[in-house]
Order: sequence, then structure tokens, then C-alpha cells
Amino acid sequence: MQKVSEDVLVESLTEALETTAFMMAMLPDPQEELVTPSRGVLVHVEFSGPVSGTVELWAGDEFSQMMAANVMGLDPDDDAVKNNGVDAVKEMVNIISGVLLAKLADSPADVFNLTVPEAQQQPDAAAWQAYVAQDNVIVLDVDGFAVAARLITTE
Amino acid sequence: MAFTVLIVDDSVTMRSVIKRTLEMANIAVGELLEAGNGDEALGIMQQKEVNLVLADINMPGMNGIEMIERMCADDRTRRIPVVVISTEASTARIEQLQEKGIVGYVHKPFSPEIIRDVIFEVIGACHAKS
Repeated sequence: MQKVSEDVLVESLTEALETTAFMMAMLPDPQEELVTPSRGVLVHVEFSGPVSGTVELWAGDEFSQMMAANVMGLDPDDDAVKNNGVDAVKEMVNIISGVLLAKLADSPADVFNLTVPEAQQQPDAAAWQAYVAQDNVIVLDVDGFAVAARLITTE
Repeated sequence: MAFTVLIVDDSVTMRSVIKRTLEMANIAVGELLEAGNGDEALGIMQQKEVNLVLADINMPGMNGIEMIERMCADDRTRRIPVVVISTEASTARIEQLQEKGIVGYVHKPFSPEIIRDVIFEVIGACHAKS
């Protein structure tokens, strides 16, 4: 079941990032060491319905800025981008959750309730290391940025 | 005829994407208004004449469903067409929204073409009404 959940999370994250931010997500090449973020944000959305649980995404500041720029179609140095990196990650987690729940549903009519995305600032590289050391956290290479995500389900 | 469009979404990023899509689609938008939730949106609709509402569902404070219900209960706002732009994928919930009178639904993630096509369809319907 955990493998299925991880596959669904990777598929959902890939689909949401490609469609909305034109960014490619893939499992990291073991031969190449990804640069890990030194500061970032952990965003989570809780869902309830036929399956309940939480979707989490840990995104570094540089990734958040680049994604916001791509989503908004603006230069990364634009003030609107600089001010909305966290907002862009929150919206991305909202979109990932929507894609993911459609895949977890037994029937297209299944109804899920989602909470509004919440963000917690992550102050340093130690926070990243502590997060990725937890069970069931997957790390992805998104256009060269390390991004971590987790799906926790409770039947 | 230039339309006054109200975008209701708690995400500044998503409001920016929708604005850019409207500009790219060459839609004749006279005034573009923004609200971060249903409550703010209803306040704007009491003060301004709005021709089209593009609304998210999952928002803090008053969500999109409650906003649509309140619009339906108010003579001043009940005829304003609402297009929902949301991550909601449940057919049951989309049908529920259609019963409440929404004129279009766009599922996130969306391509600019999809949102443009839905809005063109609604604008066409509005022209047919007027």
C-alpha cells in the first residue's frame, strides 16, 4: 500500500508541476548529488473522505521563487515573484492534492474535503535533513532543485 | 462590450495566472477585480456591477460554495454568471455546483486554452441573454 501511495504521490506531483509550472520532476539520479536547500517552507493539506490523510511538500526558497516565476510567467527578480514564493507552493500543494485525490478515489463521484494549505517556515539545512530522514518521505529532482514530499493516509 | 470580471481565489499566484490568461485570450475585460475569499467578493459585488465571477471553492473564511449560495439568495447577484476554477474532481460535487447555477467549471491544473474556451462560451451565453 505504501508503494502505491508513493507512486500516486510522484505521479500527482509530476502532473501538477508540469502542467502549472512547466517544471519536470523525476527521481534523483543516484550518480549525481542534488544540492539540498538551506531554507524553505513545509506546506501541508489535510483531506478527509473515503480515504483520509495529509499531503506534505518541503520546498527550498530558490525552488519556490523559480516555481512562482514559472507559474506567474514573470521574471524571477520581479517583486510579485519575490513576495509570493510561499503562496505559489501553497497553491501547488492544493493542486497536487486535487490530482492525487482523483487517483485515490474508488469512484469519480467520491467526495473529499480539503483543508486550506498551511505553511511552516523551515529555517535551515538541518530542518531539511530531519524531514527527509522520516519514513515515507520521497525526494525528487525538479529541474535540479531537491524537493521532498510525503503522503500520509489513514483509512 | 467590455466585461467587469471578479476573480475570487485566496492565492495571489493563481489570481495572477487567471489575469494573464484573460489578457492572452484577448477577452474584452473592462475592469478586473480581485477578492481573497467569498466574503470579500460579496462585498465587491454590492458596490460594483460585476458581469462574470471566476471563483475557487477551497478558501479560508467564506468558501466558494457558501458564496454561490449567498449570491443565489440575493436579487442583486443571482444572475451574475459564475465559473468555478478548482481542484475539485468529484462528479457529485460538480453536479451539486451546477444545480446551484454555475455556468462553467475548470479543473486545476488547467491550460490557458481551457480557461479561455470556457470563458468564451460563457461570454457568448451572456451576449445571447442581452
